[in-house]
Amino acid sequence: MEGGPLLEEWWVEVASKEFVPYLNISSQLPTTPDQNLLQRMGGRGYPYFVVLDDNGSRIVPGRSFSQFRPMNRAGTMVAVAGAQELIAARANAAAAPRNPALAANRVLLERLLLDGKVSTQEAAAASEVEGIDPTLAQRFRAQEVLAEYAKTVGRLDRNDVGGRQAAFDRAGRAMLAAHKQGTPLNDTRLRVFGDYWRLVFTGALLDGELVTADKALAIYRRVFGTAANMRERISKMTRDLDAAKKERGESNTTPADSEESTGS
Amino acid sequence: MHCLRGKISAIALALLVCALAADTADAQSRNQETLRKNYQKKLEKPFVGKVNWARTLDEAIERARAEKKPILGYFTRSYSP
Repeated sequence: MEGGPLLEEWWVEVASKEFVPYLNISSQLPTTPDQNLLQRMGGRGYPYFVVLDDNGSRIVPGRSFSQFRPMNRAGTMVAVAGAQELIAARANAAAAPRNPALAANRVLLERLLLDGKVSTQEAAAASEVEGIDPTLAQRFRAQEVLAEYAKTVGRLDRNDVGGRQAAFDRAGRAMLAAHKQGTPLNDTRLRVFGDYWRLVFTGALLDGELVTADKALAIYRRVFGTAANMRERISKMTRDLDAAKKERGESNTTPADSEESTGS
Repeated sequence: MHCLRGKISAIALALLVCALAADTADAQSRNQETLRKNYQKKLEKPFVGKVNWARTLDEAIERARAEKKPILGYFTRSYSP
């Protein structure tokens, strides 16, 4: 990093315009600043990059945009986008303290991006406020589905294939319900984007909602179809959908006949 | 005679302990010096001078609040390559 991206012109430009760069050097010298901060930030090895809001609170990796290393301008901009969104939402809420929707947007973003700041109940109440950003409410619902799934799977034995499949199916149905309730997630930069559409697909397939399954698969394929490690998964999703269609006497799924719209 | 031998042994042991302690202190001091040099070398790397890094978290927060920007923290180390 130090001999590569951190010397490049794009880095110099974004580091002066988009965020405050903070350098922490672990030296094993007690006189140098902020020793042992890496552990408190959840880092386990070097080099480590972390995005913080303007209060110094860590944006939880994976909550908004993926954990990253600043290898290029686009990836770096994506990494700080969540924190920028949160700072802007706080400023908007502060500028209009009587606007409940702006306050709710702030609450939802704090729930989405920070650990332990906002309870599930507070965020759920915020997601019902009229006039909020509907994508924030949907991100919150999707994140809750994924958190519940992770919690369930974490309690299961590694070899409990049936239990894991049942948990995945439940998550699929829950994500489908969230999908029907709110605005579809279209921002491909979001860490939750892939899981969202894969689980919408799963729920739709289980419930026989093949039009929605078809659309979810088309979106998933459009975004992830070129990734070599996703090909097998996408092939299986396609086979599963084709089998469900065959059962109903419908035509097979191909990339060309799938509508690439995120509407439900 | 036995008493004299015992005293000599005790003195020898004390001298040995002192020598070891002095060695340890010396090694620690050399180690601290190496750590300081490595830290200094890290600070002299070109990437450090390329941007206006905040050097403490408090400074980063102060600047972030004033500029309404997030903080991007880079954690590295100087004690080991």
